[in-house]
Amino acid sequence: MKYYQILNQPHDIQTFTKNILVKSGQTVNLETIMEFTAPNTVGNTFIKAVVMPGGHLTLKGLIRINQKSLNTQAFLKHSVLLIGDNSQAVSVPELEISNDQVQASHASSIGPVDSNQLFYLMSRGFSHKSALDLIIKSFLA
Amino acid sequence: MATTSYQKSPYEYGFSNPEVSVFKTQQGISQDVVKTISLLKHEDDKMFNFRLRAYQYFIDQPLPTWGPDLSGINFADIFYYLKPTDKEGHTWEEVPLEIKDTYDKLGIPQAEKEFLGGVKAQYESEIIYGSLMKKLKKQGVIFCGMDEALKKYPKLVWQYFGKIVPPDDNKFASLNSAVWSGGSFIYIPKNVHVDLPLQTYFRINSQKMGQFERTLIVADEGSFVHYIEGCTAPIYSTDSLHAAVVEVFVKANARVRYTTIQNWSTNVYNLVTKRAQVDAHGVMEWVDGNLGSKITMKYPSNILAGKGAHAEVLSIAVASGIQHLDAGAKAIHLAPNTTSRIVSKSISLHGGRSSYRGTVYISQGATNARSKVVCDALILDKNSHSDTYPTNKNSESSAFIEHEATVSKIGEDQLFYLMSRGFSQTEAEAMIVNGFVEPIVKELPLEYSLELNRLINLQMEGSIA
Repeated sequence: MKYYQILNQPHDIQTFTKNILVKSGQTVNLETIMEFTAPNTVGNTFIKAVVMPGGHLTLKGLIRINQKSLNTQAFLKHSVLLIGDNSQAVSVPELEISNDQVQASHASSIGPVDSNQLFYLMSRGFSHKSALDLIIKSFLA
Repeated sequence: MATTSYQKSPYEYGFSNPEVSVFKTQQGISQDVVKTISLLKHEDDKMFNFRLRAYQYFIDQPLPTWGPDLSGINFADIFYYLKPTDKEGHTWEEVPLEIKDTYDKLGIPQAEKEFLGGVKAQYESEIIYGSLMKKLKKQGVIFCGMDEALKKYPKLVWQYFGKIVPPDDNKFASLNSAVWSGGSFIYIPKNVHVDLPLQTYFRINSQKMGQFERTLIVADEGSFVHYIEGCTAPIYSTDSLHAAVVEVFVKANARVRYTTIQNWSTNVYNLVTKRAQVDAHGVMEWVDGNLGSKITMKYPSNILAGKGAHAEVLSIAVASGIQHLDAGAKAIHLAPNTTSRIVSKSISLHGGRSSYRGTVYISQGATNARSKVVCDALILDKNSHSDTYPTNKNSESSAFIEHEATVSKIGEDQLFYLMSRGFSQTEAEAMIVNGFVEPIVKELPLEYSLELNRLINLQMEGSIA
């Protein structure tokens, strides 16, 4: 999957959101490009994913801001939860910035489910499996 | 907005002395040049063959195209080996006068007296001066030129040489393996703490020179050493090439800190392969300052092979004018509970381009591994560029990778705040930039943090002190 976003009008505001569940044995590749060519633009990309056991996910995300796109705000976020054995995720968030009037940033995290959340739910009577399901569901909601 | 008043101070190390040499290979590279270097050094067959094999790899590999533009390098134009003097001096009096003069100007003999445990000085292709404190010698510390080490301790050297940077690793590691000369070999015995830093100072003096040193550090179990390298060169209109290979072995519970202040002149291509292997509970720290050179490609790598190993990379790049500094770091987690932290700060000004390029990989089985990467970039004017190219790969579901990066100009609100308190714009900019690099600068030995502060000097009217 490849998504291309361009902000070429002044004062453009765009947000791109994608939530992905990578099932066991599945391989998913997602590439997003957000290109800024006009001044006073705001662009955000939010990708959330859960990778089930045996799933493979590759996320690429590029923010490119050219010289004319002054006063730009750009942000990209990759949040990935890895579940169980043999799950794998690759995150490649990239920035290419060619002027100084910008606020551009990205954040990326790949890791397990927060054990505190699991513990909390299980202490309220949920089984490990249903607690995990709940967390995954709410993460992707 | 007003253009920035911030600038790099003029390059102070751009002077050159007349070329001195007792031997110089012909221009360009060929199998004969490689053979000549090996024969001249009276090397055994093993190294002779190692070089020839590496030369073949060098010829076979294409130039890497994924990074900065390297097409400007003319391999046929460069001198690959220049021997400036017949022997390594052990006091500065033994060093030829013209060469000693260079080091005096750089302040090395003075620094040695005051705060270093040992010094090596490399001029062109060879180590021309070396010293090591008596106390350290007694403890069994070895600090000598790579060529000398190969003669004196061949077994020890071959146990490690080319083991984590093999001769076919990449084009420039191959080139280095083929024509390497000079560099340092350090061995720290078990449980020995070297309190004062050991330093090597690299200087290119002639035009169209290629410097290909090879550094190998072995820190045995429970030991500690801080190694510093500094590099400068004169400014010429022709390009020089610096392609080093550094291998560091950190044994169990050992700690190595490797500090680089790279301040080549802006006609030097600086293409360096640096890699460390860290065993159980060892700690590897890279403090990497990139200020000079025309193009730099340098990504200190950490192979975390033992349980609980830790790697830390602090990297700073200041790219101005024609400079393109492509720096970064790698952390490969292969064992449980390994941790790494990468902090990169870059500043681009006057059309310069600085990039962060890094890889974090956590393999399956590296349970509870953690890695955190933070890259901050400042762009100071509208002609400059900043890029971030990280790759984070996680194959272990109990392990965690975090990455964040920001690119921005100097904050207008920060500037406004300081100026409303009575600072001029220049002063305020200076304070903000200094604060930006502070977390890394404070890790440098004092004399270097002073140098760095001076190098990324601010044109300050009035004083803030």
